[in-house]
Amino acid sequence: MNEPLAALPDEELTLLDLTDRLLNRGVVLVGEATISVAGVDLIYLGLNVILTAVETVVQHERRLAEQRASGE
Amino acid sequence: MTLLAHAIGSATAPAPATEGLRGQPLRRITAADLPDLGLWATGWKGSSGPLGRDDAFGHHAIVAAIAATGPCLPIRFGSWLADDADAAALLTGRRVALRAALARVTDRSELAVTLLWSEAAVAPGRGHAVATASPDAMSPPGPTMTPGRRFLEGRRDDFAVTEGRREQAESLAAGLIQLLEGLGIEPADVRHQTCPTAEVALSLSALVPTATATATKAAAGRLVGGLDGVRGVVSGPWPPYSFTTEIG
Repeated sequence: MNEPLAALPDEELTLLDLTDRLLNRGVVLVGEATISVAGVDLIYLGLNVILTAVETVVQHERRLAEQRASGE
Repeated sequence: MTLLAHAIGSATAPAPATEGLRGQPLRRITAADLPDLGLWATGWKGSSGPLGRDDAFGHHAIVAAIAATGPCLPIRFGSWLADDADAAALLTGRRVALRAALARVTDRSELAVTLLWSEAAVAPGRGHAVATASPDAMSPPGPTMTPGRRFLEGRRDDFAVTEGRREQAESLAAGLIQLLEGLGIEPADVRHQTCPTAEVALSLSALVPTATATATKAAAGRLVGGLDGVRGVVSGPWPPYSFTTEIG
C-alpha cells in the first residue's frame, strides 16, 4: 500500500506537484499537427503516487471494473 | 526529423544554455511570417519512443532554462511534432492566443500551493467519527442488513464525507486566496482545484513576479502553516505550467 501523502517529506511532495504539472498542464498540442501525446509510462515513471495523473487512471480502472461486475 | 516540443517563447530571446533531451540538439523553430514567436523542441533522432521519469524532469530542466532567457509557455510533456513545418503551422494557427499568453507570463513565475488533509476522512459509523454521528448513523450494520442495503448505506456515508470535505476545501481556498491577495497576488492570477484526490484538499497555482518569487514563496509558506486541519506545502518557482489554458 502506498504511503499517505501527508506522511511524505516536503521535497517529495514538491516533486509530485511538479510531476502533476508536467503531465497535466502546459500547452496541449493534441489535434493540431501533432503525431501524438506520447504514451508516458506512468509505471516506469517510478513514483509511488502522482496526484491527478494516477488518480485519473485509478478512477478509470474502477469504472471499468464496476462495469464488468454489473455485466456479470 | 521528429520534434519533442518543450516550450513556446520569443523568436529573438537568447538561446538557453542547455542541450535537448538525452543530449540531442535543442532547436528553435520559427515561422517565416512570425518574427516574434519560436517553438523550442528537441530534434529527435529516430522514432519517437516511450518516455520515462528522467525524461519528464529533463523536459522541466529545459523549460526552466528557456524561461530564464525570456517569457515562455511550457508545452505539456510528451508532445511530439512531425517536423518543422508542423511546428511553424502551430505557431501561425495560434499566434494571437500565444502572443496574449506570453504577454501575461512575462517576468512572472508559478508558485504551487498544495494543502493535504491532516487526517484521513472517516465516514459516519466508521472509526472515530462515530462519536459525532447521529444515533441512526452510529448503529452498526445489523446481522439482518442485506448486502444491498449495506452497500447503499456505505455509498451514502462516503458521499456525505466527500461533500463535507469539498465544502471545507472550498472554504480553505477562498480564505487562502484572500490571504494571498495580501501578498500582492491578484485572484485573477490564481488557479485552484479543490479535492483533486482523497488526500489533497487544495491544489493551487499562483502567477507571481519572478523577481520576488522566492520571498513570496516564503511568505506563502508562513500563511499555509497557520491553516487548521491541513498541511500546506509551497513549491516553485517554476515556469508557468498552469497558465496556458487560454491556448488549450
